[in-house]
Amino acid sequence: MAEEIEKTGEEMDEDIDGAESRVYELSYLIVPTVKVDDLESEVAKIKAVLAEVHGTVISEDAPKDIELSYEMRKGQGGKYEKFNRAYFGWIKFEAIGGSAVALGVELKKSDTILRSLIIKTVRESTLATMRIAPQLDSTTPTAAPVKKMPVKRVEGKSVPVSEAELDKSIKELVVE
Amino acid sequence: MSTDYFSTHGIKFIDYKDIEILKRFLNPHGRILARKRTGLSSGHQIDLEQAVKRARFMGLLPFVSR
Repeated sequence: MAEEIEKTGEEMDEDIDGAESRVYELSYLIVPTVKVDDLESEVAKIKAVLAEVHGTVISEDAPKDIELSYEMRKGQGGKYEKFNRAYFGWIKFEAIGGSAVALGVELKKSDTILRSLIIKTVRESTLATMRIAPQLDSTTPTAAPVKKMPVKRVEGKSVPVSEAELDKSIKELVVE
Repeated sequence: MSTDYFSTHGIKFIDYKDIEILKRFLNPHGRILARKRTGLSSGHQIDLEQAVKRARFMGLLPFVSR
C-alpha cells in the first residue's frame, strides 16, 4: 500500500517529458519606491511569471521592509538609482528543472525588482531561528544574565533509631 | 565553539535567511571565521560559506564592515 502511494508520488513529480520537478526558492528585493499598498500586486506579478513556467507555490513570505547591509543600485531610465532599503520576500515553489532559469531571466527584466536569487532547496521549512530561539536568547551576550537564586538548605529531620532496631536491620542484611 | 553548532541544534539545512545564526560565524569585519574557530564539520563549513555568500548577495549581510 505504501509502495503504491510512493509510486504515485513519484509519478506526480515527473513531467510529461520525463523531467523531474524540483523545489526551488526565489527570494527578491523590491525597490522601496513601490508603495506598501502596491506590494501585493508586485507579488502577484511575480506569481504570474511563476505560473508561466508551470511552477506551483509551496510556501511564501510577504515582502518586508528591510535595511540593506550595503548600497545597491539599479539602472532606471538611463541612470543608476541607489537604494539603502528594500522589501525582501521569498517564495518556495516546485517546478521542472531548468524552468527556474527562465523565471530568473523574466524577473531581471522587471523595473521594480532590485535583485533576485533562485536556489535549489527542500520542501520542508529550513528556517531554524524560530526553532532554536529560546536557546539563542540564553547564549547571546546581549541577553540579560540569569540571576542565581539563593539556595535554601532544608535540614533533614533525623529520626531517632533505637539500637535494637539497628541490630535487627543489620542482621537482616547479613542474612540476605 | 568546540562542537559543531548545527549538529548540536539539529539544523540540517543552513538557510541564508537565518542571519542571526550566520552572524555568529562572522568576525567584526564581516568575514567568515575559519573552521578552526567555528568548530564546524567540513560539510557544514562549506554550507555556511554558501549561506553567507547568498545572504551577502541579497543585502542581508555585509561584504565588508567597519
